[in-house]
Formats: sequence, structure tokens, C-alpha cells
Amino acid sequence: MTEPLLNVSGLDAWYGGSHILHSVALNVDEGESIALLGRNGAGKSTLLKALLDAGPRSSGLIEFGGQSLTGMSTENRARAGLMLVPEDRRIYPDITVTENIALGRIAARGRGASVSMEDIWQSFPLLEPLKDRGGGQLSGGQQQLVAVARGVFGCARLLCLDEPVEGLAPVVVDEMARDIARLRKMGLSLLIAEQNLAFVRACTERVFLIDSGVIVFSGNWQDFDADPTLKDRYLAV
Amino acid sequence: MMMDIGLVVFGGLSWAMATFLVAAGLTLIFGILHILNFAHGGFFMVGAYLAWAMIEALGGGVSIWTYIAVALVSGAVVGALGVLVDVTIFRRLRDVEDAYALIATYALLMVCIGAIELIWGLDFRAIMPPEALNSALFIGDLIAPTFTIFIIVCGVVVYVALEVFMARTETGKLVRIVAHDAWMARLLGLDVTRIYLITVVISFALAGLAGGLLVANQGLSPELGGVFLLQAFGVVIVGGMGSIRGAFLAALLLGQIESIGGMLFPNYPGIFYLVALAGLLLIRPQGLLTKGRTEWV
Ligand SMILES: Nc1ncnc2c1ncn2[C@@H]1O[C@H](COP(=O)(O)OP(=O)(O)OP(=O)(O)O)[C@@H](O)[C@H]1O
Ligand SMILES: [Mg+2]
Repeated sequence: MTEPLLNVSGLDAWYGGSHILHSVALNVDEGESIALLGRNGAGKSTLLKALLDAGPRSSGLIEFGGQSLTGMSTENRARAGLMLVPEDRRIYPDITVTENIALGRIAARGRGASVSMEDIWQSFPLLEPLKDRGGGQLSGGQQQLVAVARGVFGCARLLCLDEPVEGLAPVVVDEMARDIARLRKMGLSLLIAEQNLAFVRACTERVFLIDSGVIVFSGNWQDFDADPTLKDRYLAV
Repeated sequence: MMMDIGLVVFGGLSWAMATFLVAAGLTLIFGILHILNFAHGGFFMVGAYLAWAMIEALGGGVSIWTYIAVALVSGAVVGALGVLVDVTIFRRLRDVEDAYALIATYALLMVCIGAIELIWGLDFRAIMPPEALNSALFIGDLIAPTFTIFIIVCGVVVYVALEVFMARTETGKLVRIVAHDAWMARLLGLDVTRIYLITVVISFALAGLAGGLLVANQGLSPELGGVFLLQAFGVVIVGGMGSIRGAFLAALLLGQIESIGGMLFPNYPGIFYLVALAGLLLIRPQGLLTKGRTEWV
């Protein structure tokens, strides 16, 4: 059996004095696409940020590509190929779309670049006409596409997307689903935190369900559907 | 009356560029690291004393090129001190409240003044400008000392160099990225700690360079740093904290106001500057130019 690309176990996380994540275990295999489900405040963003040591204080095991990340800085985790696209997108407004995407390449330094700008325009056809547009002149959906493209251009080995379609119009959600399907064909591994079930179901093959910082279910979509109480208990608003 | 206008404008420019030379490094470090560095005036003094000591060692009267070279060496030495300060002090201030930064940089200012007193003593020192800058140009009725013209040119050169560095170079672009959103920069694999170090070194080097360039104009005493720091803070605040272009414009504006004040009320030097500072902050409390900024999550 090969090692998983990402292996998390016994992960606890805190914001100040409040204990947010409780002994979380999660794994992603090479080439896999995983959904992280949970209602507002369940701990999805906290978990993704803890993977990068980019916010909460945390303890526990995080292994990436067979290597423990304990004590490693955020930027070195990114350089190892673990990239997070945060829920608030954070596109730099004063530089162009192309320059924003090119910033992702910093993370790929020393690992050999496998993704070209041409690949990006092919994977995200909506972005090509916006190449020279300033980052501050984009709609929410366009910003989200740029944020994901930027992560891809960093030659992510595992791309973590935090609610990539939250608040987007249905046509943009469909576009994002098609773009992600293209990325998966390129062999990219994904961990997608979402609340939009239809979208994430189309993009992933396995599910982790988190509630109050505890993983309450993990399995494939069939198993998830087999227990209809899951949705009512953990996802209904 | 013609002469008066020329004199006011020239006097204002002189004040503006001398102050901008000190303010440039101060606003840079604030814009990128969000640290208000009280010690900036102290390191400006260290640069001035270093330059004085080097020129004395060279036997006093130096050529303009030696004078500039000495100022650059002062800048380099103080820039190197910046490495020490960043590694030992500024790095520790990143995750604590702003009040700690104020106390730490104020303490560092005391250390600078103390070190200067220990090494060079309390005596008042003075140095002549280089031969070539020790005359005056006669422009109409205006008598313009060449050393003052030299300082004005230096201020403009430093400003243009900083603008070009920030806008055109790869490192300058990364500095802007980090200033805007350091958290995202880390997620993109950028070595933010290194960018901060580069910024601190540039800021300190600017302080040392300013000290070396301005040394001939002044009676050198350990308190001189405080005077320049007060003017520079005014310029940084009016310009919009952290904006280099803003500081440059604010220096030009406050320089003219100060110069007009000096002409109208020659018995109250500096009062006009403080009144204008208060007035400008009432009209535009955010400063002339302000930049968008995202905080660490
Ligand atoms: N910066 C912070 N400081 C303190 N508490 C925080 C912080 N960020 C999140 N929390 C708390 O941590 C818990 C988990 O929040 P988190 O953002 O991980 O939820 P989420 O699943 O991403 O929710 P959403 O779907 O709304 O984005 C919440 O109770 C939240 O209040
Ligand atoms: Mg969230």
C-alpha cells in the first residue's frame, strides 16, 4: 500500500482559549479529490488553516508526502506543494490577473514547474480575456477563479479550496465545476471545503463531515447517501 | 517682493528635502512592517556621527565625491545595524500588541543616544561642507547656497530611486505584495521574513545615508536626531502613514508652509509647522495618500 499524500491524525486546534478542533483524522491519497462538509462554524476553515499553520494554534500529526510538517513554516508548507485558496480569495488589487496568477509560482520554486500559463488559460477559459485586467476590477466569481488558478500555477500537489463557490451565481458554479474537472484530469489532488452539496458531489469521490470540530462521518458518497440523517443532523441550517 | 517669493520657495524646498531624507525610511518601515520606529532618529544620528568621524579621519576638507562616498558608507553601516535590530528586536514584535513596539523602539532610541554619548561624548561638533558646495549660486536676487541645492537634489534622487525600486524591480513588487497582505503572501510560499529584513535594511540605510548627507549642515549634538524625527513624523503622518509618495508631497507642502511662517513670524520658528500639521490633520486625518491594507488573520 502506498502512503497517502496527506495524513492527518489527532489534530487539535485553538483560537486563543477556545478549543476548535478535536482529534481530527483525515487523509487524502495522490490524485484523489475529497470533500470536507460541515455547516457554518463547524471548523472547516480552521482545519484547512491548521494544515498550513496559518492562523490557529494546533497540535497533532500532519504528514504531507510522507514528511511531517511539525515545526515547518507556512511558506515552506506551500513550497512543499500544499496550497490553500482561502475563503476570502485575497486577490491583490493593484496588479493584473496574470501577475496575480504568476505569484503562485513562488511556491513552486525549486520543485520544477509542471504547469504553464497556457495550461491555466486552457483550464480556466473565462480568465483568458481578463489577463490584463487589474485584480481590483473583478467580480466575486472572477476573483474566485483567479484565486484557484493562482494555487494551480503554484504547482500544488494538494490544492485546498475553502468554499470555492460560496455566494457565486449558478452559471459560475457550473463553470467552476468544469474547471475543476479539467484540473483533476491533470492529476491534481484536491481537498474542498463546501456547503454546496450538488457542486461538491460532482467534484469529489470521498467525504469527511465535520461538526463542532469533530469528524462525525467519513466515507464515499454512496455511504453518505445511505444515511439520510447525516444531512438533517449536520448540514441543515 | 520677487526676491521674497524666491526665498520662501527655496527655503521651503530645502526644509522639505532635508526632512524627506529622514522621513523616507520612517514611512517605508511603517508601511511594510506597521512598526512606528522611534529609533529612526537615533540611527540618523549614528549615520551623522559616523560620517563626521570618517571625514575627520580623512583630515577634514573632503571633495564632494568623498563626501557622498562617506554618506553611502554611513548608510551601509547603519543598514547592517538594521540586520541586527531586525533579528534581535523587530522579529519579536510581530505577534505582540503595538504598545510593545512603541516601547521597544523608544528604548532603542535611548540606546542610540547613549552609544553616541559614550563613543563621541557630549561636545558640540561641526563640519564644513565640501569645498565645491561651500559657495552660493545667484539666481536673480536669490542667493542659493550650493550645499542646500545639493540636499534638494539628494532628496529628489532618493525619492525617484525609491519609486523606481518599488514599481519596477521584482523585489519592490514583492515588498508591495507583503505590505498589502502578508498572510496571503505566506500561503503563496513567499519568504515574508526575508522581505521584512530587506525592508528594515533599506529603511536603516536611508537613515544612515540621511545622517551622512545632512551632517555638514548641522551643529552635531546627540539631541539633533529628535528635531529631525519630529519633523519627519509630521511629514509621514500628513503624507498618509506608509506612503512614500505621500511623504514626499507632504514634505513639499509643509516645507512651503514652514518657510512662509518663518518669513511672516521670524520670532516664532517652527510654530507655523505645528499649526499647519494640526490643521491638515483636521481636514484629512487619514493623510494625503493612504493605501489599502489587509491585516493578518
Ligand atoms: N480568528 C478566529 N478567532 C477566534 N475564533 C475563531 C476564529 N475563526 C474562527 N473562529 C471560531 O472557530 C469556529 C470554527 O470556525 P471556522 O471558520 O473554522 O468554521 P467554518 O466551518 O469554516 O464555517 P463557515 O462555513 O462559516 O466558513 C467557529 O466557532 C468560529 O467562531
Ligand atoms: Mg469557513
